[in-house]
Amino acid sequence: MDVIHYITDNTPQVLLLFGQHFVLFAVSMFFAILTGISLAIYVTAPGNEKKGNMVVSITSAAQAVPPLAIVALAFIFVGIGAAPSIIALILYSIVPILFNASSGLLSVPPKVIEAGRGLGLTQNQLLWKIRIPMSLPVIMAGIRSAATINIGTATVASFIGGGGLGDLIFMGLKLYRPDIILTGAILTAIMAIAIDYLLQMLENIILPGGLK
Amino acid sequence: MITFSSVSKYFEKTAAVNNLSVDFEHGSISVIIGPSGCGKTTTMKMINRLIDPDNGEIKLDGKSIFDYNLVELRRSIGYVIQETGLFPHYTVYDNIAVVPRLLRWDNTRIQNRVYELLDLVTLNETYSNKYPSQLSGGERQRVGLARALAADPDILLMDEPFGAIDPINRLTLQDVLLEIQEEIKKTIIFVTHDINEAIKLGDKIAIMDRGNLVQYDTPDIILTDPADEFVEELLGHDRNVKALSLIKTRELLQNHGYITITPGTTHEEARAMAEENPASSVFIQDDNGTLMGRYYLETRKDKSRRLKKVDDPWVVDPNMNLNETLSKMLQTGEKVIPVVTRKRKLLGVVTLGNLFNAANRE
Ligand SMILES: Nc1ncnc2c1ncn2[C@@H]1O[C@H](COP(=O)(O)OP(=O)(O)OP(=O)(O)O)[C@@H](O)[C@H]1O
Ligand SMILES: [Mg+2]
Repeated sequence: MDVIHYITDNTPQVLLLFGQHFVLFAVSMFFAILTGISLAIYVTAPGNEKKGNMVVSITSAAQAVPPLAIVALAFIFVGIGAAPSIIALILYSIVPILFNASSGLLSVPPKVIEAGRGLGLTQNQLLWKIRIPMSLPVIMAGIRSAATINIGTATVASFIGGGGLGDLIFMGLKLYRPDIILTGAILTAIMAIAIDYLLQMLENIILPGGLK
Repeated sequence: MITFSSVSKYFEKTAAVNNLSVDFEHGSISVIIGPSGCGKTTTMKMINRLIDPDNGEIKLDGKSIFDYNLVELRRSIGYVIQETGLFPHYTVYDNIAVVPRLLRWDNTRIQNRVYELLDLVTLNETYSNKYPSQLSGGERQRVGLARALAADPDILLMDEPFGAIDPINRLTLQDVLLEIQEEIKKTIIFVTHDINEAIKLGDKIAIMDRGNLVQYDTPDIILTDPADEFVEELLGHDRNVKALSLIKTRELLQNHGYITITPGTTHEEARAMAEENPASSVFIQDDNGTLMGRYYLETRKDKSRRLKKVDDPWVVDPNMNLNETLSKMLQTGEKVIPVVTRKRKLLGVVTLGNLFNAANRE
């Protein structure tokens, strides 16, 4: 097959791009998870529920913004290279993470929270022992869909010099070589599937029993 | 003792609780009852400061609740709500262990306490690793009670804890609570919608209407001397029958009207004795006094008689109240029912005639 030929003939280049792609994904996801979940905790804190509901509406709508638009904006405001690509990817991945984490945290039944308060749990204990563990399935679903979207969107980063497997797709386009385009596309898909599988395994390990 | 002095709580200018002054006594069960929205939950939540009052003062043993550290106050007050609010991601064990862990007990102590409590609420160690979703409503409620009792609080707040349980299991849970209370003697505030539950459980009953305390008395005073029409209506038409729940079955026990025979007696001998004493019930009793069965002499349509032996006859417990005994007799159709201890020792019988007399006396 042409794709396999292309990979065996250009192994170092393909590996480099694959690695770049993974770094774009890993770095941007790390910051997206960190900020997304912190923000969700902040906007859903007791007394903040109005903000929380607002964030849920905004992030729900924001998921419809096309990735190219974000990348283009990053290019205009930050310029060319890996850094603007990562910034664009962070912005784009935060949305589903923030959406899921906020709606998850807001959907913990008030009875359960009231029982926790009545037993003498502090706000922090309520957060870490009750609210986060109980919303973990929803939070993890957000992270998984963000990861898949992130890996796909990272191909567009090549547009503004971010590197990664998108380079193969654009190169194939320029050279009129479907085998190169396919190589980029298939490797991107493989990475997305593998990461999703790993996250699913992680989820099975960390999900508290009783919620499975 | 929990003391309310002129306590009011307003939500958007309407008083949920209006100028409430009441003492909930130490070591007894105080029931709060009244229609939906009358302020029962609000009253209760002001005790563990889930809601803060707008006016007035609440004291625990003479000390204002605002002088306690909030978290410590709550940890020293057990709290049980309808549907329990059990943590779905924790096992039964972990749910009960929540407060002991917050108090940093060591693991052996926690384990002993959890098993002790499971036993107390008539569950057992095999429930430890189950999740709330794997339990029945009644079992969840017991776990909720065990969780509230974990750190041995002096006060127990229970907000319609049995409200969502079917009637039969509800009776069992009430018995469990009464038995536990006999052992632990907590100050219990119990909110309910159900007047029968209130009469059965309450040492005292507080009746509320639209934020006001209408009457606060013992069940027998409330039944015999309702403060006003509102209370009368709450009690319903069958006040006489309800009064039966104030009397224990053992108080109406009689030791005549039945004969006992030994397990060795033959069918023919039994038949002869039954026909000789047609007005008496015939019980089989062994040397230890244990009830082993019952004979019924049945008259058929053609006037011929037939003797039927039942190995496991209907019985009642001497601690059941007369209301419960009455409903059991009406359900089973027994006109005379044997009263036996938990180990099935025969104490005597209760007859339907005596029950009706008692109801009319009340
Ligand atoms: N957080 C709140 N905000 C506004 N109004 C409230 C709030 N909590 C209670 N109320 C109002 O205060 C009144 C008393 O409520 P409460 O929950 O104490 O009633 P209740 O006697 O427990 O009723 P139920 O039997 O239905 O549980 C009701 O009219 C209710 O609508
Ligand atoms: Mg209520």
